Amino acid sequence: MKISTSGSEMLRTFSPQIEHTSKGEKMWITVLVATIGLALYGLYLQIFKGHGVTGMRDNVIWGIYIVNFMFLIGLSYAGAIIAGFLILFKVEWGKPLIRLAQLMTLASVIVGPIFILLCVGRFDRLHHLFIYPRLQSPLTWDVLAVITFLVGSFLFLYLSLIQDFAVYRDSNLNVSKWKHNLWAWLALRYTGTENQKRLINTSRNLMAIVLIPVSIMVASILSWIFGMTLRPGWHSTIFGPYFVVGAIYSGIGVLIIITWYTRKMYHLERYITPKHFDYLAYMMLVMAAGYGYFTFSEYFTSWYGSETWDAQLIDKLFAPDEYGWLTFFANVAGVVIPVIFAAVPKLRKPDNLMVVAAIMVLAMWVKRYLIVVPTLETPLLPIEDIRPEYVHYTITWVEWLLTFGGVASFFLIFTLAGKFVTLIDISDLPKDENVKTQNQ
Amino acid sequence: MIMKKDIAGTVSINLMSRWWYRLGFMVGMILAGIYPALAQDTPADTAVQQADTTAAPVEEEETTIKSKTSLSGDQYPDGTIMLSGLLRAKIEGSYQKVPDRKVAFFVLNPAGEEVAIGDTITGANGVARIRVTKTTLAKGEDGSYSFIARFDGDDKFEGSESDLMLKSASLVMVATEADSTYTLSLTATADSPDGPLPIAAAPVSVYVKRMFSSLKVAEGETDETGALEVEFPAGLAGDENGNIEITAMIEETDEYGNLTATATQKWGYSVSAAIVESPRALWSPHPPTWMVITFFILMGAVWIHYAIVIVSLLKIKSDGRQAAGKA
Repeated sequence: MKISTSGSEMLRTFSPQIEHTSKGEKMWITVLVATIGLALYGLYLQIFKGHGVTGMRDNVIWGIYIVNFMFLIGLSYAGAIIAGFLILFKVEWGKPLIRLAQLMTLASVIVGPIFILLCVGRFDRLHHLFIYPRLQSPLTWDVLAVITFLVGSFLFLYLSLIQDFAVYRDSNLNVSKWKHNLWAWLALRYTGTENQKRLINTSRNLMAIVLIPVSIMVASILSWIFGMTLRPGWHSTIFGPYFVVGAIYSGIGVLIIITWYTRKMYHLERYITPKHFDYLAYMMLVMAAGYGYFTFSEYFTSWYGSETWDAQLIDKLFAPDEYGWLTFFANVAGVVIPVIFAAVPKLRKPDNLMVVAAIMVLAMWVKRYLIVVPTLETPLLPIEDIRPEYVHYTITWVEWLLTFGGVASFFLIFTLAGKFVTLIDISDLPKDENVKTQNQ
Repeated sequence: MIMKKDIAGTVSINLMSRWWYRLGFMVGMILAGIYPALAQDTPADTAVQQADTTAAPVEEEETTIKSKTSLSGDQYPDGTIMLSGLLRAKIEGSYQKVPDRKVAFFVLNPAGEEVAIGDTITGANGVARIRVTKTTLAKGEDGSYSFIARFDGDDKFEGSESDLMLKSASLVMVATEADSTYTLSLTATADSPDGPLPIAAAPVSVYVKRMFSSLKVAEGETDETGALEVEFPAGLAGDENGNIEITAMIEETDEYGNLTATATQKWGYSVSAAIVESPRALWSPHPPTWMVITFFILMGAVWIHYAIVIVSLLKIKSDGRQAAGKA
């Protein structure tokens, strides 16, 4: 199958990655697998010894598992929305980022739901969710929505890969037979006829149109798990859009990190230019402003209302001896610093943005922790004469193991995907002259 | 296996270049992670330990847990005594209630012989209760009753017993209502051959029964005539007819045990136990129709689009097959 000059060049760039596994990659994969192995040991302990090995108790019934779930699922929605808009509006400069955004979606939507399963105490009753669903429960909405989104994400990514699979199939890449056969099978006999091109373009656009509202809805449904509950810090009308904006915002942060890494790793400076980072920074700036506005509204209305229960939570969130420093970090590192670095041209450099994005992503994870845990530590009825660990949540090493296992799984999926496909869409790259223009 | 000859002519084996070796390596890592836990305490090991324990009779005796029985009595104005035997056992360093065990109750006659009253089974709270009428009981020489509660033990718990000596007494409660003020008149007396004697300076507590436990609403101390008047608070929630169950108690005295008087008065406001169905509630048994319709429209719209895309994928394949055929 014919591809553009830049596509051929890109295939040559990625071919060593696909054909061979370097010593460094083997070590990297070993570290990831070992981390996952340790996480499985933690899972074994949790299954056979019960949830007592976690910090979750009667009051704080959700801990970092749900935080990880919210964070990763948020990333997946962000990836789908970003890729959807780039495809739908035919943004030429965004083409090298589409595959990365889609892979981010897929990796996070695979790993994210695992964390919600870790919250379930009775795995043997898991199927009851489908046998006896309560359609009026936000949890049921979320399960069905995430499954729908997972299927959609696979289809969306696959549609973008078919033409590439055909290129790999027809190339002289030196790969094992099974990999070549799998490419051929997945390419669906694509030869680039006009009808096939039309079908792929129509389907991709259709999936982009469907997945953007689906992502917004699914992010909103996740927020409603909290928003439909009559608890301070959760029962809020702005939680739907707040979660959507927060998800896109943290997704842009992760996309900046992944883009920076891919650019460095494969020397793609010709295709991923500082302009790409500028555009990502603009997106980050807009989202940071929106996210900061929602955060301020959330705290301000609760504080101003001074309802007793709300006031307890606000005091807890801002008290230095409780969650004050985490709140400070989540807002300064999560909003203020990214805004400064994205707004000031002199600071808006790829390396700076990568560091700021990494800190922002961490702050966004902390923010989700601050949404979940302090509220659960603020029960309506006073708790007296009870052991402190039943009121206050402390993350245990088992929970850390499983969290790191999840992070390792995310990177492993990304790494293994990079062994099978090019991390940039080679059959749909911008025209060569555009590349030159951006490079100038 | 891929075998490569290097410059020196030696043979090196690149195991990691085969996918099944990588898979094996990953499985090995996972097992390496799990093995220490399996080695520590596998179900099989536990079973063996249990088997060993049961095989050794000496160890079996050691595993019998010590029990403790506590006996208390509540005297009522109708001439009855409620005996309560609390059975507990020391498990993992603290006393825990033991349910489903038989506790036998006895009273001693003037000769000091045990006369069986009856036996009952302990409930979930570890308490076995039996109600006896004073007139049917044997008294000691000093006119008091001596009770024994005994748990004989079984293969898991050692036996234990507790005794209790009570002098006959009663607390009488009279409820009156005047000018929307509710008053409880309480009189505590001890029985004697010379007639009732007042129990002076005894602390009395008044409770009302709530959903989970009793709520103290008034307290006071009897005067030298053994009498006490307390005002009962208005505005409490009652049952659907406004009835409130009131209990007055002189608690845990050395001589009389608990002296208890109960009454049911229509002094509360009516609270219906009937569940009023809220049409908007998410916890109602069935989802509202609009929700079902909206849900299926939204999900259907998305999945229909997926189906359209899948059909397009099949068309792409079919088109490719036709193009190959023409070629």
